[in-house]
This record gives sequence, C-alpha cells and structure tokens, in this order.
Amino acid sequence: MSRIDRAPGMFSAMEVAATGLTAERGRMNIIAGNLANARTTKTEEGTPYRRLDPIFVARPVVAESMNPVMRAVRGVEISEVRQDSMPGQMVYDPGHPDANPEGYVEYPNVNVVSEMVNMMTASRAYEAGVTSIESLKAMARAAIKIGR
Amino acid sequence: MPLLDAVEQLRVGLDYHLQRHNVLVSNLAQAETPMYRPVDLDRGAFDGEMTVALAATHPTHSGTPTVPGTTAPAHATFRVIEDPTAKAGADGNAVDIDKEAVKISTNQIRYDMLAQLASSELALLGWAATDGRGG
Amino acid sequence: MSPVGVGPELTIGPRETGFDAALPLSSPSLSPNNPFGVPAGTPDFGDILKQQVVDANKLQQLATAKAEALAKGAADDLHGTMITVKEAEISMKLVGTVRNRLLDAFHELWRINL
Repeated sequence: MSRIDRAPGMFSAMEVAATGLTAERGRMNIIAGNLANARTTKTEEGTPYRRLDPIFVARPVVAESMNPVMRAVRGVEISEVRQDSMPGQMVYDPGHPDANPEGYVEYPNVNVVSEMVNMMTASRAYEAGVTSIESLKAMARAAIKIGR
Repeated sequence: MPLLDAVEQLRVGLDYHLQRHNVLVSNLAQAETPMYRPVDLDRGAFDGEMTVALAATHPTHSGTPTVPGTTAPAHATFRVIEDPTAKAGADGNAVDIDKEAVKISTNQIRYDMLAQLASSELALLGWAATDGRGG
Repeated sequence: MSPVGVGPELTIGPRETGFDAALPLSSPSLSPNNPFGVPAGTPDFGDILKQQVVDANKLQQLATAKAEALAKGAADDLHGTMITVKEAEISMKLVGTVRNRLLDAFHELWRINL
C-alpha cells in the first residue's frame, strides 16, 4: 500500500500526540511570559508590555492522503504568536515614573485570572497528551504479545 | 482458508481501534484550534463491516482479502463522523479534553482485549493445526 | 461387471445388484477408473494437499514481506504483522499434519493388503 493510501497507525498517532505536546508547551511558555510581565509598564520599545497570544492551526500528518480516515488525522502547530493590541488598564498615579502627562500609567493588557485559566487548560491538554502516548505504548505492547 | 476467518475479523477490529486512537488524539491536539469540531469513527459502520464479512462466503468479497481465502476485507475503511452535540466555546472550538481522554482510555482497553482474543484464537488454531498431537 | 456364467436372460448387470442400485440413474459414466461415479473435477486428497501448500506458501511470503517492512521502518502495522506471521506458521503446521495423516492412512491400508 503506497504512503498516500495508508491508514493511520502507530507512527501517525505518535506524531499527532507529539505536536500537541509541543504546541501546549509553547502556549505555557507564552502564558508564563505574559504573567511575568503583567506589571511591566515600560518595555524596551518604551510602551507597556502587550500580551502575546499563540495562533493554533491544524496540520495534516499526511499531506494529501487518499485514505478518508488519515485525512482526519491532524497535528497542531502554533503558526504565529500575535501581540494583543487591546489597550491595557489606565491607572491614575502621577508619581509613577512612567506616568503620561495627564498623570495616568498604562498597565499591560494582561488579565492574570484569564491567563491562569488558560495555563490550566494548556496544562490539562498537555497531560492528556502524555496519557494518550502512554495508551499508544500499551497498545503496542499488547500487539507485540500476539501469538506469544 | 476459512479456518482463519475468526482471526481476520479480530484483525479488522484491531485496525478499527488503532485508527480510532489516531482520530481521538487528533481531537486532543486540536483542543485549542479555533472552529475545530471533534470527530470520531462510526462504530455502527464498523460493526456493519464485520457482519457483512462474516456473512460473506465468497473469498474475494470486498476486494483483495488480507489473507488469501478468508472473508475479512483487506484494508477496511471506516467512516469519519462529526459529533453534532459537541458544545462550541467562544472561539468555535468544541473539544472537551476530558471526554476525549476517557474515549482514548476505553479505546485502548478494547484494543488490548482484541489483541488477547487474537492470541487465544491463534493458540487454539495452532493446537488444531497439529491435531493436538504436535504433528 | 461381467455376467456370471448363466444364460443371457439371467445375466446380472450393474443395475440389478443392490450395491449399484444405490447409484442415481443419471450418474456420470462409470468406468474402471471411476467406479463410484464421482463427479469430474472433485478434488482428491492430492489436490487438497497441493492447494494447502500453495496457500501456506503465499501466507509465508506475505508474512516475510510484512516482517521486513516492519523491521525496515517502512510500515508500522504491529498487530497485523504479528497475526500474519502466526497465521503463516499455523498453515505450515496444517500442511505437515495433513501430510502425516494421509501417510498414516496410506500405511494402514498398505498393511491391510499385506
């Protein structure tokens, strides 16, 4: 059976799970960066920190498969990391070194609670991915035992 | 060889569960992809294939059989279906991580069970093939 | 069956004896090589054994091909390969067993004659 005809098996499942782990880890790193900079009122560019948001996109494991099931087998990828352009909170604090002429300081557009929720989701998805790899390994072990 | 029919049915079953694992893991990978709706393999169609294969007596029932002379279809294709009841979140993504994780677990248990059954069946056939006497 | 030494009106032909009367009237031609009227094309034990050897061979080739593909990393069909390999083994065993039983049967018959 040629490659484009092939039904998904162990390799493809492993690939998909691996892309999931990589993407979720990437997301967790980005969230960690957002949290670390939640109060950064002045970055190197001179502006307050703007939160970063990963864009997830599905990538098929086999580019143009003729097998209908394989077409549904897709890994994930962070195609770009976008800066969230929403303005942050303005706080009246004329004594602050980064205050504008009106006396307001613009804080980063990071909502800590929302970032933590995202972190939890990413973490759960990561763990579920790890478990799915363990499941695959168990299935492989069961298959190898056939006929023994 | 009709003797091997039962094992070939088990093979189709194992194929189904392995392919299903792929589809479920894909759902998990897309947990944060906007507009993604989870998919699954049609269990009904799978059972249907098995029933048809069991009922068929002609060796070349659905194309080239896996093993010459058996009735099980060689490369059984299963149907990918969408779950219409899945609730979409704000970004249009309808994947429930826990639901998929549970499906992956139960799917793995069924795969293991079929593998065990295949082993037992092969052991039995091996015994039968040597007439219980070792040849 | 040649008539017993009696006159023509008392000839015992194939149709009259109890044994041959069991044969259907439309039976294909009986001949010395086919005394029981077995339909042409029915496989004999030799044919059956030959077919089994052919099947076992095909299965063996398939098993080898799958195992090679798996070892080379070209395929990842674990359960399929294990099943096929075991099936090839079983069909080989079957050939051996059928052959042995036929030989046993032959030897038994041979002993009877002597």
